[in-house]
Amino acid sequence: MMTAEIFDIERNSYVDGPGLRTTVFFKGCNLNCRWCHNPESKSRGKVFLYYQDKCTHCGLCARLCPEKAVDKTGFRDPAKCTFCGKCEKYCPQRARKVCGRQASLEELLNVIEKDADYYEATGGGVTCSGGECMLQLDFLEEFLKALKEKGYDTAVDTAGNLPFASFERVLPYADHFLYDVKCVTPSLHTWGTGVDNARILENLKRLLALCPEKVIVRVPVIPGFNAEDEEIGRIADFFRENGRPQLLEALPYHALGENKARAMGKEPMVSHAPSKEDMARYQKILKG
Amino acid sequence: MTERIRKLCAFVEKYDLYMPVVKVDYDRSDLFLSDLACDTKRLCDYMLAQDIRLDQDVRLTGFFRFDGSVPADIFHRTGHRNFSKFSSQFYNKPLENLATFEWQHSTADFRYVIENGMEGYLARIEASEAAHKDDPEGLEFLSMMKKVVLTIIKLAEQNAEKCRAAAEKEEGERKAELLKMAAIFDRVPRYPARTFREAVQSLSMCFIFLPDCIGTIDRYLRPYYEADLASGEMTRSEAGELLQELFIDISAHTEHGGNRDDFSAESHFAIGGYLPSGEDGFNDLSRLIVESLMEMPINKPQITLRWTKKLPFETFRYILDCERNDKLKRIAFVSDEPRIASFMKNLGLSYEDACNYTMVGCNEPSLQGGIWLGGCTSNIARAVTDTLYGREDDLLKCRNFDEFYAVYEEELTKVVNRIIEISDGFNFARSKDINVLSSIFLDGCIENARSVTRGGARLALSGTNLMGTTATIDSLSMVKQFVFEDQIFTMEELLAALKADWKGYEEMQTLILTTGKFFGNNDPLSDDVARRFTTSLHTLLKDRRNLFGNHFLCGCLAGYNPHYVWFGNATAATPDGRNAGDPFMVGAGQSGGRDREGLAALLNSVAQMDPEGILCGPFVCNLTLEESLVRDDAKFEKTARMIETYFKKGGLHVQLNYVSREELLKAKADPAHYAGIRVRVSGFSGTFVNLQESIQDDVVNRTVEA
Repeated sequence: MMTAEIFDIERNSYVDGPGLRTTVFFKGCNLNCRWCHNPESKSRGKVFLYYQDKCTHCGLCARLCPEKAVDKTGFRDPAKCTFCGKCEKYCPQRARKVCGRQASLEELLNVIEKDADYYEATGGGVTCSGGECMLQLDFLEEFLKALKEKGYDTAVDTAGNLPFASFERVLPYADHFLYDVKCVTPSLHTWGTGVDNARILENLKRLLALCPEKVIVRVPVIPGFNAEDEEIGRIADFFRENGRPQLLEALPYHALGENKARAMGKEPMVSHAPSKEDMARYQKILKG
Repeated sequence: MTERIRKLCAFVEKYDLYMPVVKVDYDRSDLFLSDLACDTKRLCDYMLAQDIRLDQDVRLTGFFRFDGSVPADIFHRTGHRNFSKFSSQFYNKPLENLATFEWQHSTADFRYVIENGMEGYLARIEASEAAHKDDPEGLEFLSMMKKVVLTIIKLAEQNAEKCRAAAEKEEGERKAELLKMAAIFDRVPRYPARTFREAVQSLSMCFIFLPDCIGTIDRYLRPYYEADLASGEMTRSEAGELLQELFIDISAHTEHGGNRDDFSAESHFAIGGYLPSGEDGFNDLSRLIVESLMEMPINKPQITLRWTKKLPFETFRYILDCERNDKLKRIAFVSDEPRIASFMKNLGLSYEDACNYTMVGCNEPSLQGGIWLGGCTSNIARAVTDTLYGREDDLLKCRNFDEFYAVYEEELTKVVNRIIEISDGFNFARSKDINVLSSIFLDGCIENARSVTRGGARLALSGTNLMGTTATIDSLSMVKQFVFEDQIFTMEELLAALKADWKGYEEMQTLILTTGKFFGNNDPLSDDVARRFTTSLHTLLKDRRNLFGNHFLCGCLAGYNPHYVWFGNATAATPDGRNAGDPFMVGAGQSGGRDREGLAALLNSVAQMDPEGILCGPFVCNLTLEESLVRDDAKFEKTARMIETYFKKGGLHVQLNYVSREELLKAKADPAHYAGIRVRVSGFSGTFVNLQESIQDDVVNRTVEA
């Protein structure tokens, strides 16, 4: 049976495309954004998050762990841990989390079906997000195909750093592409994400030429990275030259990823949410 | 809004629209009569002695209040001697931490009043006298009804004379207006109304004889409204002005400045819903009713929209839009689909009767011309505690959840039987009084020659409001999940933890609270338990009748009184992680952060919890939404579609709050600066800072769906 590696399923999303949506978060990404709000999604395989600030050292995890991989203070021995998730499931403080698991097509379709009436009523559907969902292309193609067979609206949330052939495989089954444009200046992109953006922008140009009505562009506005009128202006120029997507919106930075990164034992890039006034100005610049 | 209505609104904000009561020095020799004849004579004397308002530019008048010196209407029950004695013993004073006496609600058949007038009642009384010729008690009751009907006719004649006398002292437009008012009283309520204005005047005057609910006015006033618009007798805005005055009159019936003056449920009615033809009944008059009310700065009446599958989304969206812009929070929503089906299946009503219901009081369903003889609020979580604290030996033998549930069901049966006994006791006590005045207006009392207090009404719904419904579902779910399915702890450990009120078992309690599959998350485990519980209730109640022969329906409304707090305070710890003495949650929507899967999941759970429709009585589902889901236009569109979908999936009721938690906490701390915040409570709305603290806490602690 075909499975995907995912790290979350979110029902009731008002923000991942049109209408009410269920968003499936695929694991693995080929960008390494400094501000990533889902740092647990970057790698393939299971990741353990431990929120020290929430832990009260109650010792329940130690008592329940079948591998004796956790001691009473909550410390986890990575060599012994099998990521069974028992300590997460019963942690009273929600201080422990195992991210990453295999999900079958059938399981995902069952969850999605629960809210089918709400998708229909609101013009919503299913969004495949991540990580970079297009990295699990074989599954994604089958998944989108199955969703379309059931009549669901589908969206692919992507950073676009893939061969265009990947897009061609999902194009027939994707109603929307939620396409992240982080910046236009190549050196800045490399600094912020670890990769060059030539292929990302080229893919976007081709999508805009092929199916502009499917493209929803989202620009994350990150102070300390791209939150400058000049850079946002360059993004606006890009669309002036290459065609308008169906929707072009600026999304403010939020700090959700910072705690998660710390829970993974990593130091995050710390930024802050732009002011409402700044966001309004960036949005205006983008609109041209 | 016209200047006249604006002034009237300003007047009622400061003063009582109703004239001061005229005390009556009753004739001592009345005591030579039978109790019923004495009461009726004095009732008539009282009615004829009262003043009516003719100043303030009113166009509708004829209303007054009763002072308790005679048995008057069935809503307030002033003057009902036995009721007063009984109420002082049982109102808000539960028996056995199981059941407490509460109010009843009813809706006069104002359609009949308007279409047939008092003459229609006289004819019916005469026909009934013939049918009861061998029933002296019935005949005496009917003759008292006739006296009261004749007094109402006389009262209208007096009103006409008072209008003419007042006209003598006026000039110009006001003089003409008073003469017109006199001419209207010459006609109604004695005879059938011919115009919209006559119909509204008839309604305004007769409302005081059962001042609870005006019912389905967008149905019975509609023919007059449409005819007058078509003939040019009246414009749409004139009709709106008249409705506004009617709303002022009925809301002013609640004593000015009294403790209930702030609550919207004091005069509640429904619009829309299925017509007997099977079509949706929302019409231009329904829209005018909403428009007229939204213009006015008065906190009553409250309107419920009856949603049907045939209601266009645009109409639903329009009312929801009015609701989100209404700072006074006067609109709630119910669906006809489960309720009408339940009325037909569980109460045996015809479709025609079933679709003729309205919402009254906080959120009670009542048929036009019928009564919601609830009057009993009970603690259904008693069955859980009786099981866990009283059946230890049996529980320790249970090998699976089915065996556990069988023990629970035995206790539930005992609890339901006892609730019915107590409820019958309450109703028996009520029946010691005879009510003449309101009985006239309740369908069946004339034909049965019997007071509504004694089961005279044809359309009577009986039932109980269940406090602790969610605590029951959650407690059963936790037993299933932790003891039997996942086997995280044993029954013995759970019972020990409960007995210790979780002391020494805090980890277990936290584990339950944080990882339990609570109701409202659309989890199959708790959703199945919810359905199993409501199905058990249905099985226990479907063949039962109260002492008047009425079927039962349940609800989960608390009304003005925080019964969920009081019952919770007297209830031991429960497996849902609740400590002994903690309040229960109110209504069917989840709260306290346990519904973690968001709005669609919550709505799915609630919509599917009651396949048999046994909770189609006064059911309440509170939704507390993050403000942007309502304020942001694009998100509001999605929210509106989601609520409509909830109704399509079987949801029965919804009322919305979207003031932020922070704002409410600030209001609690600094009432003076937040005096204007209105919130939906348990079927009604009230000013937040004036609510009892326990109710404030409940509103603050409801989960915000974002």
